Amino acid sequence: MGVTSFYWTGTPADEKPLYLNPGASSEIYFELQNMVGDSPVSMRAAVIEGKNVAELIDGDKVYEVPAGTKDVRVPVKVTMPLDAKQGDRFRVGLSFATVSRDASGGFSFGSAFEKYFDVVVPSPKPVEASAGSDSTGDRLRFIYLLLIGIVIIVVVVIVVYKRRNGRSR
Amino acid sequence: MSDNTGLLFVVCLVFVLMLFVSSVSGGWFDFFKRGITGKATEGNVGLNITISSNRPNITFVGMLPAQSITENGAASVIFNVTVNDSDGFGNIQTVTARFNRTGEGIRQNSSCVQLNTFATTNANYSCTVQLWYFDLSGDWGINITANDTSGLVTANLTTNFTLGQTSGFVLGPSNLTFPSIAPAAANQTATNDPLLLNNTGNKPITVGNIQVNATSLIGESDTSKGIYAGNFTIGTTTGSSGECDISGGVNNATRMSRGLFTGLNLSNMSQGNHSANDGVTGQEQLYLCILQVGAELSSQSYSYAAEGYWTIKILVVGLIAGKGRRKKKKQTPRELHRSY
Repeated sequence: MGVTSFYWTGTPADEKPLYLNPGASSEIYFELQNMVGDSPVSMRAAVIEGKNVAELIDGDKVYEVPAGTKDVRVPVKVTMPLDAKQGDRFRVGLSFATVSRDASGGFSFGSAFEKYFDVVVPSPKPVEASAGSDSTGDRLRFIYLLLIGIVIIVVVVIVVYKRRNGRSR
Repeated sequence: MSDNTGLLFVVCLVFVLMLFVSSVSGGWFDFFKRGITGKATEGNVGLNITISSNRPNITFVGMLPAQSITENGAASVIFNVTVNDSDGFGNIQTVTARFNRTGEGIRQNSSCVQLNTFATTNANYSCTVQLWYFDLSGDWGINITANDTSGLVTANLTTNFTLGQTSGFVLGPSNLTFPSIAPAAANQTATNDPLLLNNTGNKPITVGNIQVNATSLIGESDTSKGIYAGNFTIGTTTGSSGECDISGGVNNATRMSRGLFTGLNLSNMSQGNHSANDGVTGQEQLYLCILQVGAELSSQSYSYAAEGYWTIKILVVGLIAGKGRRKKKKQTPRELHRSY
């Protein structure tokens, strides 16, 4: 048996949180797999942490996972509280367990999984430095160049004017 | 005066033109340097110019939705690529796709398959790259390379996709057996263990995150008698009854609790190719022991039928559990007033 999630906890470099703005909702899903063996498996899911933000859309449904399948979906609705603030983080945990079969004799085992992910209110994106971010510097450089040019022109004009006046005298 | 005005106009015009004309120069006085101009030192110049080919361009890489591994196997990830070659699509020789992720090797399709061509210069390709069940979850980059018949190469690194995190395991044997046990016997070990766990997902399971929920084995004929869950231990070692040793030493076996998930000491399950079958890579071996059998037990079969089977659970939880947990909002005096 296997359970796939697309959001998970981990180290800051490795985690995959679900980002939601206050009041926003999102439907995500987990995938149940039964790719090993040749018997169907029945599984039940439950929210074990973060019930204030996450709920199973199918409720207490028992999911049948035929042998050889990897895409039985368990949909989960996640809602960020309206009063949540930037950086607030809510942990959501779900458990998945095989449902007991009729059994007799011996000593047997079932499988279960617990998976967790965080739901986070995103911070506003910092202003990214774009290719044009140096435009202020470019403008200043242009103005300096213009001023220098004007000064040179004025000096040249004055020199030429004085020389002409000198010759005419 | 009109001459001066004319001169001023010309100077201003030249300056304005200089502002708008882009120039590239090593310096204003390079012109006077010796190295710039002068007689050639050699007379013969050999030139070999190839102008027959332009580099192919990868103009489209199909967006990939989040992917998942196939438990205990390989998953094929299929996507389309469009390549343009201004010398004609016939000039495109091979298109190669690679997936890469920090900490993982490269997963590659050495030759994508051409699907169709259009507009004389474009060709669509279908690329298939296999991901293994032990490939780590997270963001994977897609690297497409196109070669043309002249050996010109173009690489495109712009796309990536998320590979989901799959927790999975299989265990065997599915039924454990014990030898015939006399009442009041101690330290009885299973006859067909280890209970072998293979990690069939892409998430390593760290120590303490393999847990077992034990039930009592109740007599199948006389249900008033049983072997109690708390009399079982599970260890990662065997020999000299290591799996029965709960003294906390090297063996550090774990005593079960009825109806409660108990984390197993020293047990973990790395993520990796468990076909190595070395007991370590992507595997964990567990050994069971009955510490003490009640003296009151009668001769009959005892099984999990009455209380349900034991459950092995793997937890996938981050290292920062509870970090940043939202604190209760502090009320302002006005809000406090309203609440009364």
